[in-house]
Amino acid sequence: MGVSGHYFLPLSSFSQRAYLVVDERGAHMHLADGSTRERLSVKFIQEHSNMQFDDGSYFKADETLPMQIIREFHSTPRQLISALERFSLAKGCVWILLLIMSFLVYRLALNTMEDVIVERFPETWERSIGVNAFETAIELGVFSHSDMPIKRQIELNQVAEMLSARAGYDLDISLTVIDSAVIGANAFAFPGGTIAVTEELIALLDHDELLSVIAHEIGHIERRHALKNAVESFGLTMLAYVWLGQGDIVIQRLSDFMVHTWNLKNSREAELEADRAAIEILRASDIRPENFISALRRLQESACEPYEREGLECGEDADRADWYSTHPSTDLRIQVLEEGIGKGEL
Amino acid sequence: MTDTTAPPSIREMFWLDRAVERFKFTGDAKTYFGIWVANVTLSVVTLGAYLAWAKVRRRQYFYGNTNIESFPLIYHASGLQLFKGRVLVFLAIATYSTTSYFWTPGSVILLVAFVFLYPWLVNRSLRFNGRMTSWKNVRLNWRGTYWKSLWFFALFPILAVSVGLWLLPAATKLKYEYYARHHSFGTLEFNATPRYLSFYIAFLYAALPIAAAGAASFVAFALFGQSAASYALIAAMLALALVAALVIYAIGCRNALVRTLTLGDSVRFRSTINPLTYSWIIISNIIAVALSLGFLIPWASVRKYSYLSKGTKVQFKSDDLVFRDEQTERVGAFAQEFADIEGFEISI
Repeated sequence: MGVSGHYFLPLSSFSQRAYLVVDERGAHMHLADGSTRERLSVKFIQEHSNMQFDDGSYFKADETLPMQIIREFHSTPRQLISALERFSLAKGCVWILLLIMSFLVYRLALNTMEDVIVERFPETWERSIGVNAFETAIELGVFSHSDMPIKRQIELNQVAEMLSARAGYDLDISLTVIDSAVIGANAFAFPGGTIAVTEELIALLDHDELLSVIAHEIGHIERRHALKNAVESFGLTMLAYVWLGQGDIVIQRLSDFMVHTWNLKNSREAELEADRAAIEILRASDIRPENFISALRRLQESACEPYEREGLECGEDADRADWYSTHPSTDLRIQVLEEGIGKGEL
Repeated sequence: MTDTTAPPSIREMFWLDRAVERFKFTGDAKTYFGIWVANVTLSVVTLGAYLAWAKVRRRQYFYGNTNIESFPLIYHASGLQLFKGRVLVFLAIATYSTTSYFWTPGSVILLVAFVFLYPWLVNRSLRFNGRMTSWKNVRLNWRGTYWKSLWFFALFPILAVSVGLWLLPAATKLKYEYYARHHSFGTLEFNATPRYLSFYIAFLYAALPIAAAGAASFVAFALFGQSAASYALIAAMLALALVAALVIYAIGCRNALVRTLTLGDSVRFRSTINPLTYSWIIISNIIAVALSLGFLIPWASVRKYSYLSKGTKVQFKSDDLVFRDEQTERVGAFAQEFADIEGFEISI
């Protein structure tokens, strides 16, 4: 078998016409100057007409190399991949269907693995992560420890532990009151059991309303939302990178945006799930679930106050883009809770 | 003794008789679709392990179908090289992520270490990319130094943006110039002498879509008031305007550099890429990829690359130029793979 082309010596762009011959002894190059280079070791073949040799020389064939030559130097896996790459409409349709199916399988597998990973993830590690995140927020000045009397803080902590225990949860809850003018009336759940509640929230709500918000945060901790979201986010990022993110920075950023949007959807679902958990926890402690709805309304009014003072439409719930938010709108949350309580489902 | 060599004619001085060659891209979407589907399928089946080989295959396809004087570019890296680099990158990222979850001060230490490592990573990445690319059996090379890379790729751009965006074109010009002048093709070095004015003009052109989107936002508010419809419209316009601005700026700067780019005294380059046309290509590609759930990626990639090739030209001083390469030490793929995965690959 033979083919003509240009042969380049190592480290030079100088080329001469040559004839490549492949036989049982290997590849040999017959050059226009009459010399021959025997038994050249092929490093790789690119696009079926360019041969790079281990000694640094290079051969560009005038036309596509015959398949027999390519098969001679391509490994079996490489030949199989080449066969996969050859396009035909029928093959293209089959591949697309297989690809969609494999993504669905991957997605199902990710859901299963997510449950397994969350189940097996050591609680001590989760707690360390939560404590570390809380302490980092303190160090960065996002919030600070409250000046509230320690006795009152201990009481709140005991109440939180009681809510969790009465609901049948085996959690190590640790409630801290924080001071943050920037955050306002709010509460946070950190992985592993740390709950932070702002002074503003305590001042805004009555006792049972405050307990209902704490119950919501306990719901996040019991359902391990932070860990589940982290595992799902990682899996989706990998999936999106494989599917969309290869070789084009703009499409890679589009893929990042799509994963981020999906994570926000998961965040909103987690909030609704924590709302349902809050109702369960409240009922287990004989606290009326309507207190949670009342708490949400007060928080909504509090958030809208600065806008209404300026005579503006409230930005908290007024026709904003819900699809790009970490939380569902308060109106939606209240609607879901009222429907669930009304139907006896919650 | 008098010098009897005749001075070069005007035609010789300005290479008026020399042909201007386009970078010819001979790939097509149909062929690349087959490669892309195989790449994605094998990457999914191997849980991402095949990505390294997929990257090699992709580059070999695009390089191998980019011809100058009927000779293609060659990509020399192997999948195994990139895979080893990726494993190291994965371990580095996992170490950082785990440390940041459990011990924030530790992650700060690692971050500071990364800042000092950054110029080294950039240099290794550029050198790897260069040495893995050849034309007519001569490879590119990168000769940047640690301190210069730290200054031109990191410190000065950050300083420029923090002082005010008006310094950004100057920082871009210096960065591009550094990038060009420290690359070589074999033993010949590239040179470029772009003007500051060209980069400032690119910056002004890039500001136009943002200004237009801003003006259109006022109109949207006037027509629809503060409603979901107006917010959605404004968000979409601003997103498109930002993409267009970034693309127009990048292409304007690229044109400014390439038009003065030379290789020794033997080769000249030209760029005729239209920023508006290229912006349209990018934006319509994004829409097509999003609407097709990614299945039009091969078409979009070929379309973009084909346009870039058509707009890039080269002129050789004579037909019998011979370039020589140099022996250099082997370069590992870690830095290149880190740059690829973390998205800070330096290119123009």
